[in-house]
Amino acid sequence: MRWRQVFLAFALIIPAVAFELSVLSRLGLPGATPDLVAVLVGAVAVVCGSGVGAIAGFTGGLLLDLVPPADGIVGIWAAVFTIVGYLIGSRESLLLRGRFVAVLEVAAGGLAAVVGRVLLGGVLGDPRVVWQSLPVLLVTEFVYCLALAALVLPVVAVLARRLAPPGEARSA
Amino acid sequence: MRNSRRSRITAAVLLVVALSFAVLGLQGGAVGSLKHGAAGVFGPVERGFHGFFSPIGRFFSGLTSINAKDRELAKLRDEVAGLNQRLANGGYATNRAAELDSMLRVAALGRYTVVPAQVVAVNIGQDLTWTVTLDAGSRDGIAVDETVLDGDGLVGRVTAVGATNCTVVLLADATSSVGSRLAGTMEIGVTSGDGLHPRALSMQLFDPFADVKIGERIVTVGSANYRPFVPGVPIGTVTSVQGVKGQSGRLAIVAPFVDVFRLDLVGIVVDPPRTDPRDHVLPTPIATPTVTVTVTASPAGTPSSAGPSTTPSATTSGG
Repeated sequence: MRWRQVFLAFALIIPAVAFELSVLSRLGLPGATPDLVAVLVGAVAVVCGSGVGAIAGFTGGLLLDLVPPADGIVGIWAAVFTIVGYLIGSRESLLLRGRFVAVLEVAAGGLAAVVGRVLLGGVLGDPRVVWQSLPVLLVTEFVYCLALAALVLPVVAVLARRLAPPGEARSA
Repeated sequence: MRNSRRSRITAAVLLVVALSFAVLGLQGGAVGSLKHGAAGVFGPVERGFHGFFSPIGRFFSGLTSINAKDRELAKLRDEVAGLNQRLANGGYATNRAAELDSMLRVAALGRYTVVPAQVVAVNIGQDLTWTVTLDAGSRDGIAVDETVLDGDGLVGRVTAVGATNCTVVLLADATSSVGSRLAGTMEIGVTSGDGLHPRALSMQLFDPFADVKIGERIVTVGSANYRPFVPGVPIGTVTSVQGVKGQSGRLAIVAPFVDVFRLDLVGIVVDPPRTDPRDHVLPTPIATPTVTVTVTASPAGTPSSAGPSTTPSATTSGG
């Protein structure tokens, strides 16, 4: 049942937002913050397909837009993650082509999210957009996303298999 | 097929909703109450996560900043070496007490009344914003546009307040700018962040012929009605000057006293000073006369200045 997958996505992403903002961002790692929310959106999309991926992306993005330290234009992250979740989910049977490809795809989703965020922010006149920061952000974001995706993707895959029958798991 | 009609419609609807939030900029009404709700729900969660994970986070932030500054290397090595032992001995509690102490010292010298608060969440990095969440809110008397400082100097200003938490925009953020003054020559200008270099703010001087010395320290000028910035809070020291004398748009590059990556315990100024303390609250360059000496010395000298300097210290310790 799809609703079970949506519920699973909520159960993973909502605590991840708090974890990212109060723990990961405080590690003081260089460049970007390890983007657990982006990786979870990507992992859910890979496992559950484009529809659930889009819902997961919208939820995670909207929370990042709203939850306290957020101070920017509401809706930017939501829009970007919706697109990323949908696009990753709509790739044909990523998991069948091997786990490494899927991990790469999720990390690429993280990259796309950062680029999309800066582009959309620029278009909407966000005063905070700083183009020079992009190269460092992209490199670090990709590295962190790769590491996180390698950890998160198998967990999400197992959870989805437990919660939803394998036959239905990929029909979206 | 993975891309069913249903999932395409779902994605399109969600995208339209998100974009309409962003494009219409519904910052007031609906989005405001959504934000308020999110703050109410996630505030306690963030606080819990922070409390549970902060020893681990401290360990990692200690490790990762080793290669950032050579001169901190030795200090950090000692810190990491002694970390486990100090954790066991409640070193964290001692640190917090020391931080609180120095913050109260700044507050007492500047005659501010501050509410202490803990940083529970940070938004630094890919969001292009430099903001933090504190665990004090409207219940603690915090309001929008109040000054936030810590033991070293100015941290930022409050931009949003929930019941039990508030959001602070840091100096390094691209949207923040502070009226500031060179402590020595009283020249004024505007110090702002660029969202990219948290350790190098830039101060634009109003007078292009102003004398700026490297190492000179700057303080806040103070805003009208003390909001968002109270006067006299230390900001940083001038490290270099860009542009020649007489050139308009001359910039002084300022290294802030506050390290945004190590923010922990801060204070929110809920009651501004009655008089501008100017540069009295700057950290003393040579640590010979301590603060207490000067305060106790003043009643003997001039009785008129003894009154204001003793009474506010009582109010700050109460608040």
